[in-house]
Amino acid sequence: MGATWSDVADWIEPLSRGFVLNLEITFITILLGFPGGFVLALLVERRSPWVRWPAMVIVEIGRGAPALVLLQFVYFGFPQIDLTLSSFASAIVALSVSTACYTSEIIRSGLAAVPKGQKEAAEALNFSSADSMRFVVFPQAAKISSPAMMGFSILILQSTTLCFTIALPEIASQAYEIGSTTFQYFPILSLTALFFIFVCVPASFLVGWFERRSEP
Amino acid sequence: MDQAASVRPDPSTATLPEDVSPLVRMRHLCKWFGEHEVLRDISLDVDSGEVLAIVGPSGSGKSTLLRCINLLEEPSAGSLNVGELTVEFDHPVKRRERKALRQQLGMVFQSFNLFPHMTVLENICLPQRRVLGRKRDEAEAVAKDLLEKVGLTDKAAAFPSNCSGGQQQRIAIARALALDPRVMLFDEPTSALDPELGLEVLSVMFSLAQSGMTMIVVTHEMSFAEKVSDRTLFMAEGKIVEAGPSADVIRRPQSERARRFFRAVNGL
Ligand SMILES: Nc1ncnc2c1ncn2[C@@H]1O[C@H](COP(=O)(O)OP(=O)(O)OP(=O)(O)O)[C@@H](O)[C@H]1O
Ligand SMILES: [Mg+2]
Repeated sequence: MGATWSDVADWIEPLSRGFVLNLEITFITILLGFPGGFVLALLVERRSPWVRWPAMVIVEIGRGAPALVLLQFVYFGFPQIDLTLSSFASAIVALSVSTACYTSEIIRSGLAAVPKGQKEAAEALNFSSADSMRFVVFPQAAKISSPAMMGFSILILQSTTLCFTIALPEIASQAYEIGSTTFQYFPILSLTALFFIFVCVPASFLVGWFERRSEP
Repeated sequence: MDQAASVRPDPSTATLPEDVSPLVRMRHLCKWFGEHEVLRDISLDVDSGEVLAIVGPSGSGKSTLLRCINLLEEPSAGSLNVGELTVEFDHPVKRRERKALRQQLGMVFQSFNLFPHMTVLENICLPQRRVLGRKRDEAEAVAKDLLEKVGLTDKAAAFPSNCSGGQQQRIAIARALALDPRVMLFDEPTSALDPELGLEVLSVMFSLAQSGMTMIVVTHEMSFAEKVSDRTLFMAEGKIVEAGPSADVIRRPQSERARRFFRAVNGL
């Protein structure tokens, strides 16, 4: 008993509803995680060991722990210390932390790739160190890092499907639920994959185009 | 007794009245990079309006000396005096001291170091707005005026990558001048350029010198040192070996070390 086109049509709606959640979480995670990564990158570069070491420990934990474990830790573990978060909030917290830790390394190498002469010119012109970062170093580092950051954004979108383990009705949960009642796993999961391909393939092309463009 | 480095009596400073203090004054400046002593007890005076050339073999500490003046490198010992400001290097330099010192100094680098993500006009305006707090209109007026002086009015809207090396260096000079420095520091401003493009830069520097700007120029261009600078300083191994009127130092060096250097430079 195969799936008919009308079955597929019925699935589109719940899957889309789920996928909107995946996109929302991705968007918010980028919004919080990228600046977090920037802050961590700055802290890790600080001279004072009192700042540098804690930041390095956070980054290593965030990069070392699988995103799935972080998700479960926040959703199931936090309530034990009387901090109960909704599955949506848990997803945001866990994925933002993971994103901040991973992207801090990307941003750090981007900052390091800005020629030393640029910082020196800003310094010699008497820029404050905040202005030097804001107007001279950061814009150039952002351009250098942007292909890797865009690539990482695609990975975030894909990792949002892990949220099916914390009872979030995102697309993978929807697919799993439909599959468990209809047993049409093959078509429903194919359809789910199509949703991602629909977003990720154009995005990858965009990243590739960007990478080629930023190589002078 | 005047401790300024001067192997021979220097007529240009000897005739100055006692109470006219030099614009830049270094005393017993030392710089260590780890175990390596790069500047050894440098004492030097530069008067207002003077053009000083610094020459010497590679690795002799010329760039380090220049970078110590605007604190891109922090000297290990000694003192530095620019205008009314004195900084002693017996303690770590305070931010306030650094700001006040750099306020009076402009610097031009061998590799131009224009900001590649900004137009030429923005390169010259942004520092004025952020550092001096000038309004946009005022900054643009200053920038356009300076671009005219360096002969690049038509490049205002261009990006640095669309300018030749000689043009970029002239823009870098305009960018530094826009902040009204009292002293301009140049670190081999023409070394990265073809001779022809270097000439455009040298002519801008020449008219700057004519206008009375105090300049300290590290250079390999002996003709510039000889024709434009009032005084030439020959450095080797982190020390000032000779200092005096440019023609004397370059044409009739006293020390064997300097003679060897100038012979090599002149290809003899
Ligand atoms: N940041 C640094 N750390 C360690 N050593 C340095 C540093 N900067 C310069 N040096 C050393 O200090 C010495 C003087 O360097 P400096 O760049 O001042 O020489 P220079 O006279 O400008 O030479 P050149 O003509 O090649 O530019 C060199 O031996 C150099 O290796
Ligand atoms: Mg040098």
